[in-house]
Amino acid sequence: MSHALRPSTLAEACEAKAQGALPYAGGTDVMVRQRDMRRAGLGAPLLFLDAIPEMQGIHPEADGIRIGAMNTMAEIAAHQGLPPLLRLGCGSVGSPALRNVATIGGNICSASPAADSVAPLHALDALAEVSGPTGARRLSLQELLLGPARTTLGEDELLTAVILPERPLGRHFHRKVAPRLSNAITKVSLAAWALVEGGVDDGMVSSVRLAFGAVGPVVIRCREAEAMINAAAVNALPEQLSTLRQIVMDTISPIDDQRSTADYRRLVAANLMELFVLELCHGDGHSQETQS
Amino acid sequence: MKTLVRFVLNGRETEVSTWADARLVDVLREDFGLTGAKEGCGEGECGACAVLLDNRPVLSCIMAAGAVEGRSVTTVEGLRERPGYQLLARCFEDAGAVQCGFCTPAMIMAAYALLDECPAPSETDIRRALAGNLCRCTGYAAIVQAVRLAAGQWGQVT
Repeated sequence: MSHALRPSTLAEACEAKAQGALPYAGGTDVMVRQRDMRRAGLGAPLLFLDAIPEMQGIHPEADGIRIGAMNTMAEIAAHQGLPPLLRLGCGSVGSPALRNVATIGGNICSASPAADSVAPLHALDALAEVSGPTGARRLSLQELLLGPARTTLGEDELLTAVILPERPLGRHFHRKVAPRLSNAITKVSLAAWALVEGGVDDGMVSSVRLAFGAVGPVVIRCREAEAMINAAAVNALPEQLSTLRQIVMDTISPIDDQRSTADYRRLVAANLMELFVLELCHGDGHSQETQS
Repeated sequence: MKTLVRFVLNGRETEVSTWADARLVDVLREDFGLTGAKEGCGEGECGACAVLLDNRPVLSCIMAAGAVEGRSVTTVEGLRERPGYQLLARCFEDAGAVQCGFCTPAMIMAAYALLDECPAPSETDIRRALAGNLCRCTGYAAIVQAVRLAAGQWGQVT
C-alpha cells in the first residue's frame, strides 16, 4: 500500500473515501479480511477515522442520544447512560481486547447479519446518521443495511453516528447463542424490548420490539409477532405461544452455514422469543441497568 | 511507500518507518525485536498477540501500525520492571500456570490490565478478563488461580 490518510475533517474524509481509500475504524474486520492481500503489498490506502470530531463522543441531544461511530464496543458496554440492551449487545462481541478497538460504526458498516450491536439497535429504533459532502442525513437501519457487506452508503459517504430516540427503559431481553461465551460469532440472537403497563396481574403490553440476529441476510424484526403481543394482556400471552412460535419460525429466513443449521436457528429463535414472553408474564425481565 | 509512525513504546517516544497497514505484531517483533507478543492465529481469535494500547489490552495481529500514531503501546517487555508484573510472574510460577509458555505473555498482559483497573476481582471478573486468551496446555484453572493469588497481594506491591 502506498500511503495512509488521517484527515481531521469530515469533508476531507468523505473526499478521500470517494477517491477509493478504505475506511479504517477499529480495523478488526479489515485486518483479517485483507491480511494476505496487504502482506502482498496490495489494497486501497487506509483511511484512519480517529481524528474526526463528529465521529467521537456519546451525548444526549434534543431528539435522543447521539453515539459517535468511532465509539468502541467496550466504551458502549461500560456507559451507564445508554440503554442496557445496547450495552449487552456490544458487550457480547468478541473478547475484551477486541472490544477495546472494535467500533459500533465498523460493526454496523461491515453489514453482517450476525453483528451483535445491530439487533439491539433495531429493537431501540435507532437511526443512522450518514454524512457526505452535502451534509448529513438520517435513515433507519433497514434503509442502511441491505445484506452481508452491502449497505446503501454512497461512495462519498460515511456513517458518522447512531441516534437512539428517547424512550422509557421498559423491559429488555438480550440473548446471544454461540458455541462459547467469548470470541464466537452468533448463531442466532434476540434483542427484545417491551413496555408493560399495569401490575403483575393486569399488565398490558403497550409497545414491543423483537429483533433477531443471524437468521437472515439482515437483522429481522418480527412485526407480525410484535402486533400479536402488542396490546395484549400479559396473562393471556402463554396461550398464544404456539402461534407466536410459528410466526417467528415463518418470518425469519435462516440458512445452513459453517456455524449452524437453518433448522437449529429456527428452533432456537422461537425458544428465545418464548423465554422473553415468559419473562414478561412473570413480571421479571431485566429492567435494571446493572444487569450487564 | 513507507510512512513514519510516531508513538510511545514501553514508555519511550519512538518512531518507525513502516507501511501504515503493516500489522503491529510484525512491527513489534521484527522492527523492534520485541518478541513477547506472539502470533497464534493471526486473526484476533487466540489473544496471544495482546499488547496494551493506552493501558488497555488490544490484539496486535489485527491492528495496523498506522493506527497507533500518537498513542502509547506497552508490550510484556515494557512491564518487566513494574512490581505488578513481578508479582504476576511469581504467582504464575507458584500456581503452575505456565506450561509451553506461548500464551503466557498475553495472559500476563490481560491479568495486568484487569488488576490495574480492578484490584479485587471476583473469579467471574478474572474469567471474563481472560476470556479472549486461549491456552492449550493448562486447562485454565491454574491461570485463574495465579491471577487470584496476585489479586490478593496487588495492593501491597503496586
